[in-house]
Amino acid sequence: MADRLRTHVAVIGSGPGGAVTAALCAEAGYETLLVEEGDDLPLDACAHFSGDEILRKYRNAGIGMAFGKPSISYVEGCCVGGGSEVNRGLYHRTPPYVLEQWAKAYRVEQLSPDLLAPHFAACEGTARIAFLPGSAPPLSQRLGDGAGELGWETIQAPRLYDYESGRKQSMSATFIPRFRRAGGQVMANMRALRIRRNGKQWHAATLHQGREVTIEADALFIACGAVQTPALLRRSGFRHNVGNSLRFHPMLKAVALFDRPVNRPGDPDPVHQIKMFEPRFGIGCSISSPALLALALAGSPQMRRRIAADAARMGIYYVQNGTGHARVRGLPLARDPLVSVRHEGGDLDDLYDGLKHLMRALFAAGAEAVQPCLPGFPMLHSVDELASLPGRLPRRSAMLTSVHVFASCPMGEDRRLSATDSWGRVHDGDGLRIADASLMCGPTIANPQGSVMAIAHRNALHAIERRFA
Amino acid sequence: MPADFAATVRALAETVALREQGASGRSEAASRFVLDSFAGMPAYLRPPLRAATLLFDAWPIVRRRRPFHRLPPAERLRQMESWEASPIGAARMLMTFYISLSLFGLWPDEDPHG
Repeated sequence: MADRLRTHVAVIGSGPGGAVTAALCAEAGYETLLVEEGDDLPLDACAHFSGDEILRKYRNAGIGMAFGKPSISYVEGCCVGGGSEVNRGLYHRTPPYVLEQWAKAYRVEQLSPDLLAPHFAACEGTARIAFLPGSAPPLSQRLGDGAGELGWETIQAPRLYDYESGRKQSMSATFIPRFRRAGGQVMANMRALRIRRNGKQWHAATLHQGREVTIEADALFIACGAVQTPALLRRSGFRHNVGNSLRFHPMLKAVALFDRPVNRPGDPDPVHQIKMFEPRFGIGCSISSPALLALALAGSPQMRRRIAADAARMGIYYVQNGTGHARVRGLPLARDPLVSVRHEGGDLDDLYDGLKHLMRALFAAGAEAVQPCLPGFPMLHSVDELASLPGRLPRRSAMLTSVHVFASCPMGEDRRLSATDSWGRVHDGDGLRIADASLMCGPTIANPQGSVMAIAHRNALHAIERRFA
Repeated sequence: MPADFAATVRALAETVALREQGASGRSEAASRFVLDSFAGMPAYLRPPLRAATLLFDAWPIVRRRRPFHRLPPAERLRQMESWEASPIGAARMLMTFYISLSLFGLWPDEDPHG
């Protein structure tokens, strides 16, 4: 490969934001290069949620940590297709109240539910968003039953999933083939080191198989994800509101033991969710393989001892909210940035209250026992035993995990708060654009992939209409 | 007998496997998963984690004249559980890291998800 690559448009990062952006640019007739740090692997290259997948498709072997009290461990994808390759593909449009809040607080222009609806629709067509046909698996249905007993509403979330072929969908199966059909080129195993403006071009210094390769582009989109995008921008001298406001959807989990099998091999992934308490917290159910049960119960030996005999009767459930405000900062000579997080007391209390709501729903669904996945917490055998739990979440034992990271470079016209304008253009960045979850202005509580794709779609069309000015 | 990082990881995985009831995976696969995870984790986390692991391995040398990885299984289990319940947060975190990853490696996930 040459030391220099020349293109009209370069998109750094191939997750949901980057893949959508690159596909639209290529289809608009621009020579487009999509750069990805990780490997280019087929969707089925390794079993979903396996150790092999974690080592090959996750960033840093699935080990990411935001340090705080409590810390949050988080995961990100690192392969062509990014996080869409490794997540469950649960899909939601951004709730209208969230969009209204962002538009008001950050002064984001033209971000109403009505104006964003065509962008959601356009992405949903390609990404194959579908509802589970037929009835949900028992592990999922139990959450619905428990909520129903308590008078709470549930929904069944759609997913990026082709239920006819029985195949999960992702960017590598949808938008990236569309990008390639339009003539776009994917460069995998290429890590962006820094970017700079050179005359009328952008130059991105990258590392590819141990060699430095410079990409020269007329237009540049950064879509490396909510941790790596601010890290790259800060390394390159862009710091205004960059990396100061990273957010998560931290989760607490509980494992329920039911009276009969709910967790059968080959069942579809669970889809029930309780959304009526959002934004304080949202509740859902997880894949509950023996390996994931063991991981969830790492600090709970009593329930863990049941896995060998009773995994089929066990299910993992979670509650999540938006607690934690984090900063992303580079470290001298280190490849990965340091992430530090602080929590508002009220948000942690809400999350803990959500865990208690979740456990109430599980007992109402007929659980014989429920184990909160917090070290030192007892296994509970009735809803009355909830009263014996600590009144507040002990920060010492809180084990928060998150599979969503976002909002590290929020968009909007209020320069006091935002890193870009309403369309993802970095303030004073000479046309440099961000096209990933970094642009979100805060938590959605729901899975943010739909929001990321729709906002990227909206912003890419805006950029193309203006010839990237 | 000096402390040995890889041997300590293997010994920890064996100890977790010994304590786990019914896990069908092998401790060799679990320790390989832990070592691969260590190799892939952020570079700035590796030196402190390696140092803490070597300290854990060297801990019994004064009283037992052997590092952790050379102790008999019952004594390894005792040391692992005492660090697991330690009042020192860093000691607990170290054990949480190794036990969680070992557990994941000990329960192979062979069923397809969809």
